[in-house]
Order: sequence, then C-alpha cells, then structure tokens
Amino acid sequence: MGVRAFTGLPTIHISGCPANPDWIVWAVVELLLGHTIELDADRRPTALYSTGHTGQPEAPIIHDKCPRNPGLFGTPVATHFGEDGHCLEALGLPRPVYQGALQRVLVRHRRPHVSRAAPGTLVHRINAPCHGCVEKTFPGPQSFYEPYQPES
Amino acid sequence: MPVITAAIDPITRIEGHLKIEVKIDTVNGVQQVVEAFSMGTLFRGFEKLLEGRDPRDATIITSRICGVCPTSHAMAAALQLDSAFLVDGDTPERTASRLLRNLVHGACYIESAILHFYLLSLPDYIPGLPMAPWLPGWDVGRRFDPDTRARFSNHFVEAIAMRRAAHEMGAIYGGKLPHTPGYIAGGFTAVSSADNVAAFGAYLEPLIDFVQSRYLPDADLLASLWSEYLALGKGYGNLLAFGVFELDNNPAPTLLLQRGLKPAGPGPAQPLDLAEITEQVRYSCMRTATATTRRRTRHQRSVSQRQRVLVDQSPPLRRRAL
Repeated sequence: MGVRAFTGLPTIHISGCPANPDWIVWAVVELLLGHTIELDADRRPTALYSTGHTGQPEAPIIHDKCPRNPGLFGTPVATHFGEDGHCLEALGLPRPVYQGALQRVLVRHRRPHVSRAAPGTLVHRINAPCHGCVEKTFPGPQSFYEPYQPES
Repeated sequence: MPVITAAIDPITRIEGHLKIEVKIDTVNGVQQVVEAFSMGTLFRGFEKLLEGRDPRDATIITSRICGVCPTSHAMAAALQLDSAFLVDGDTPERTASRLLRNLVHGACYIESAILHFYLLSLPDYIPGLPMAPWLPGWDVGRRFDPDTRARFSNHFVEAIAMRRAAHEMGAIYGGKLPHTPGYIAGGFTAVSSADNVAAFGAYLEPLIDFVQSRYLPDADLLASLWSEYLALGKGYGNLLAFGVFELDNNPAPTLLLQRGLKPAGPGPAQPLDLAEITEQVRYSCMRTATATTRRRTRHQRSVSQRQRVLVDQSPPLRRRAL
C-alpha cells in the first residue's frame, strides 16, 4: 500500500534513486509559498519531470536532446566503454527518461555561481548510461547495457 | 524485581532493519542484563531482483542495498563480475579502472565514516536542538562539560559540509552519488582528465585535514570519556576483514587495508580462507516447511533443506528461540 492510499491524503512524487535533493527542496518551498504544483499522471511535478529548462514540454526520451546525440551534434557512437565523449546509445541508452530530468541536472551543473565541480554532474560526463531511476518502472526488466527497446 | 524484557525495533538512525532485545533480571541483588539478542529483521530480496536479469546489471542493482555504503556493494558486484567474465591481465585499462574504482570507493569510505560518527552516533552523546527530529529523545549519561559540548556541536555541523564534499569528490568520477553508474563489469566508465585530478585533490585536502584535526581527536576524546564501554558489552573477539583497495592488477592483489582473520585471544592475524565461509540459517527467523519455501527456486530449496537439518540438530533452547 502506498502512502497516498494509507493516509488518504494527496501526495507529490519526487522520483529518483535517490531523489535529487534540489527537487525535494523545490517542492517544499513551492508548498510553503502556497503555490499549486502541477502534477503529471504519475503525480510528479511537471515542472521537474516533463519540461526542459526553457519551460517548454519536451520529448520523453533522453536521447532526443542529449548533448551527445549523433544526429544533432555529429557525435561518434561508442562501441565500448571508455570512449570518452561518445554517444552511448549502443551501450544502454536511451532510457525512457523525461528530458526535464536530464536538463535540470545539466543546468545545475552549469550554473555559473556554482564553483564546485561535482554537484549535479551529468552521468553522461563519466560515459555511463542512464538507468532511468526516475521512472515508475525502474529498474524494469531490460538490461541496462543493451540498446533500449521501448515498451509497447 | 520482575524480569523485564525490552526491545528496540527497529534501531532507527543507526541501522533501520536491526532489532535489539534485552532481558533484565536481578542476579545476586543486582539488576542487570542477563540476555541480549540482535536480529536483522528486514527481508530485502535483492537476490530475487537479480534473477533473470543481465548479470552486468548487478553493480547497479546491488548498490541500492544501502544508502550509506552503496559503493561498496557496487564494487563487490564489479569484482565478482570481473571474476565471472575472466577479466585479468596487467593492462593500462585495468590499472585505470582499478584506480577510478578505488578513488570513488575511497570517497565513500570517508563519507561513510564521517556520517557514522558525527551524524548517526554522536547525537546519543550531545543534546540536539529542542525540536524534531531531536525530540523526543533521552537526556541521560551526558559527560561533556560545556566547552566539549560546544566543540562537538560545531563539529557536527562541520561534518555535514564535509560529508557533502566527500560525496561530491566521489561524484567527479562516479557521476552521481549515492548509486554511481560508473562501476561496470570489467572496468569503470569514466575517463580521467587533468581537471578531474585537480578537482579531486581540491576536495581531498580539506577532507584529510578534517579527519586529522577533528575526527580522530574527537573519536579519541569520546573513547576516553566512556572508556568502560571498550569492555562493556564486548563481543567474542573473533574478527575478520575482507580487505579493500587493490594496489596492483594481480589475481590476488595486495590490498591497502588487508584481508585477514583474527581469532579471539593472543596471536597474530591469520590468512582468511573464503572457502571456509558458508551459509547457515541456524539463528534465522525462518520456517522450514511452509508452502512459501516449497515454491522457491532450487537454490532456496537446498538452503531450506540444510536449514531443516540444522534446526533438527539444534538444542531445544535454540529451536524455541527460532
């Protein structure tokens, strides 16, 4: 039984393994300010999970706007791990992660006033495939290290 | 005085699935703990999660066992996968992945130690703020004078920032922490750059300073103030360590923190024979003949058969404890 069913109260789901602390704080602050948080079908804030950093809705596939997308940026596709900076689609990506999740992490990393190197480091930066840990189906039945097959 | 049985279940903060039960009786006119039990009470089922999956997924899945030591579980899974896939040889690639695995694991080692001492254990020794989550709490057995209390309170706050720094340090190569995606079968995903090395060092220097100038003196001071605890409730003294941080690429590598077995009593540490470690369920809270166990896989059935034998051989007292 979930928290919502148990308490009978509405819930906001900040998914992730673990949830991004910035997103949790964001939701708490929004509530303290008395704002209404718009939720998607899985009760996740659309501001965090369904829109990019421009505020526009985005395709729910991380690969489509990845800074390493071969079609957009001509990035070579990695055939094995350790090829620095290459696209990882043949090694496990793309997972069905909402673009917003990726972009938020990326934006946080690039925030100019953040002097530290590591907060919000994008997992792609270390050449690791995304495992889709914000998704409702995580970890899902598919291998993390085979090209992703969208579920029908 | 009547016999008192008390249980704390779960032990929150320190260990979320641990139960401690004590029996208190009066012996020779002195009220004392006459029996004490500890139990891990939470079925996790990580083996079930891995069944039917790509074995390479193990580093990602097993990491999720713990938010305090996720990297150790990822590391253990990676070593096991290396062994299963016969990854060997003294190659530059293996050296690079060994160093990166060790750096991320080392960052978590530091983070985990700071977390354990300052954030999880220290609140039992210093009064917290008069608010949740510090209240309700107990206020007994305090031994700090006001200066020492202030020192520990300040270091408690400092430890939060230090723990974060250790996590961020590990995330330079781990991508994210906890639950880094960097550990993979056969190696590590990250490729180090000169910038990465500089950033790692910039985190490491203050952490070393914190450990040497705060953590170690604080641990010594705490131990001196509660010196009787070094003997009180002491265990059997049979200790083993699996060792960690490989220093070379050999099949049986030299380890920075060594592997060994130290039986109780005098005498040096002995080599640890992993083949001597077997599974046993004598003291487990399991039923052997339930319908649930019959439905399990062959591996589990063999476990439950062994278990039945063990239970049958157990003295009556043990069986009742089950």
